[in-house]
Amino acid sequence: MKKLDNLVSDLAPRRFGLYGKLWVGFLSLVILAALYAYSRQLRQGLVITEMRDYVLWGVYISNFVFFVAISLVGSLITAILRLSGARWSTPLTRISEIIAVAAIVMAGLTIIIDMGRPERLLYLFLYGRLQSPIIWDVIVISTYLVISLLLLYYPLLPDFAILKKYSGDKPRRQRWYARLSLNWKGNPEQKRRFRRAVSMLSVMIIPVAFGIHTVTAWLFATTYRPGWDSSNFGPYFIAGAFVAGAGAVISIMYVLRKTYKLDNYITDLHFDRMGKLLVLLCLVYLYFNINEYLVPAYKNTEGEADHLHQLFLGEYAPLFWLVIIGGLIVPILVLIFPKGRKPLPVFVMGLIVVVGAWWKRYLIVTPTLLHPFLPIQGVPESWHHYYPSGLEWTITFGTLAMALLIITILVRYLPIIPIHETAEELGITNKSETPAP
Amino acid sequence: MKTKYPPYYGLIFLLSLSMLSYGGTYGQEGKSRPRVTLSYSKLMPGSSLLTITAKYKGADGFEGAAGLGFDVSQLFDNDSLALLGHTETNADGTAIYDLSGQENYEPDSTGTYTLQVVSGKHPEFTKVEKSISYRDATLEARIIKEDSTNYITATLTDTFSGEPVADAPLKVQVQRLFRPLRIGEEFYMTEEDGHIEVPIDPDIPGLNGRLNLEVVLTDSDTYGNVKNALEAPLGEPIVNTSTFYQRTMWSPPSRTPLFLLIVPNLLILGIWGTLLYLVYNLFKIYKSKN
Repeated sequence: MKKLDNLVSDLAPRRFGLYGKLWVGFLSLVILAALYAYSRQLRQGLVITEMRDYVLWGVYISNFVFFVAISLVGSLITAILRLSGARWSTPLTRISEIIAVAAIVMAGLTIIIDMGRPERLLYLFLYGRLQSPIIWDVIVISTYLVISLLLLYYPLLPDFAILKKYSGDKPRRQRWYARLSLNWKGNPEQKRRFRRAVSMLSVMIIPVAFGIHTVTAWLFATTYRPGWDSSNFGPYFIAGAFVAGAGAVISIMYVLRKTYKLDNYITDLHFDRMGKLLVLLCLVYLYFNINEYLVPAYKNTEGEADHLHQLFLGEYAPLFWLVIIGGLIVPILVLIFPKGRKPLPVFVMGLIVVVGAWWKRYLIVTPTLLHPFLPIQGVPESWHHYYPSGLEWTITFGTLAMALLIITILVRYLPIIPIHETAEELGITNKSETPAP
Repeated sequence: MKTKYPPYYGLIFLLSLSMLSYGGTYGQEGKSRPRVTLSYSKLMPGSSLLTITAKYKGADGFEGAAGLGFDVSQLFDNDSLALLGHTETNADGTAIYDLSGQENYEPDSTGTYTLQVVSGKHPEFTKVEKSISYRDATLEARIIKEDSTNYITATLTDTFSGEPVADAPLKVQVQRLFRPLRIGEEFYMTEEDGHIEVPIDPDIPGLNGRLNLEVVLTDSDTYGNVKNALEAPLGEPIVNTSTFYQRTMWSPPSRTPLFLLIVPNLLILGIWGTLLYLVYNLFKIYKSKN
């Protein structure tokens, strides 16, 4: 029992310290600024942004694709690693589920932000055409959100029951944990239902997660536009999403380990394994990138040539090479060596990968829109380029801050590392649970 | 004896004069003078139309004089006028007056018709008068087949004299949605006997193979516009490739392809059914008594 006490003491949610409060305050300020900017956009319309007839998907849709990519981590760590029997990933499952929920919520909100008339959102459901990938995206995002919420909540049931027991000195919190634990006693029927549900969700989330990112890729690939017209876009997006998601988990697990002193639970081994996993994912994504650029470059049709020239040597070249070299090749080179897989280098590489992943989405969305099949003529000079306005950046940073705030709040009230599962793996028995017959 | 008037009589007279002249000035001030053009058209076998176009110079160039009424009258040899009827311009400044079946609509002794239009009172436009003279022509058209080639033949005759009209430019064309499709050359000049003969290409597309052929005399100083139209099954049948009523990927929601209705909805039902079961499972965990 003593061991469980220690475990709960280590893993139970803790109040924010000074830095935690400052962090929440900072995020709140960014969100407030974004809300003000969005209220202006709502009043004046999308004309207040720099998006025009050609670049009609700008920084918002890049941000949306980024959030969708990040959300895929829920299926990677929770489902794929769990089903493949990689028990070492147990301490990371809750973190990845929290990231997945925050990202998918913000992906949905970002789409609404990109709408000129958000009050007409309901029309999507009333008048939507099932032939349109946009409707598929709406359906699959809402499905993925529900699965992610259930996959976060189910494993929390035994943890809430444990926290209820250990929150005797805080009656109000104890009541909340009691409600949320759904009367969990760990009896055989509850365990049977629990295990079956978690297995079902782990299996179900994989095709839906693949679906969400494939459908998002199809939003682009179902057009004939240079840079998007590719039958390879679905796997290319999924590979990129796994890279972004793994980078996000590495970054956040490092911060949480430092903040909550979880060195005994999130060990160097986890960073080593996640580093190796990230190398593998980066290599796969690099392969898809080569495939995605080499084939059109070989065919060199007029539209593709113009688009690729802009990426390789033109206006977008510095950003493009920074993303490819800095965001993919450098992490591979660093993480391939054991010294590079120590916590700090892995964290730095994870962070670089996440930032690179964001800009990669920007490079997928914007340059193609600036290369339509018909030449851009008879329009103001500013329509030939797209530089997001301060308002767009403020709103975008607000959505990123909102995702981080959701993660922060969930981390504040939920155990970051699954207590019950860790106890089981360590062979610590919870005597309050009914033993199996 | 000299009649004496009070001194203010002169003032009253001057005031009255100035008011009258002001009223007259006010009546014309700000009014535009419309430019009226008349055009006569005859569609065989018996429909005759007078087209009146009225335009005025507005702020943005020439604009149609809308809502301007016209009396249409016929002028005879003895300068007598017979009112035929009344018409009014539409928003484009065009009015079409149907002359078919009009009583008193007769040519003069030379076989010429003279019509006069006079505009009515209008707050924006001054009164205007215009006349047009024309002779009635008959344009007969038919299809003949010679050596397995189809021809359209047409004969233009002066109705009053019964004489064929030579050297008149006739156009042969097929009716189309936006503008007619010309057959052969730009126009064919009628022979001495007022006759033309034009071969019809067998590969002109037509709905169900039917062609709406037209022979037209356009803007003739003597006869105005004369047209004869006839339908003939001489074209290449158009195969209707429209998918408007089919279930396609580009149809509205009511015509979604069946596979796209069935497969995704089965998937959605399967996944959401499972999710509902998992939510219900939470309830069962909550209610578990063991």
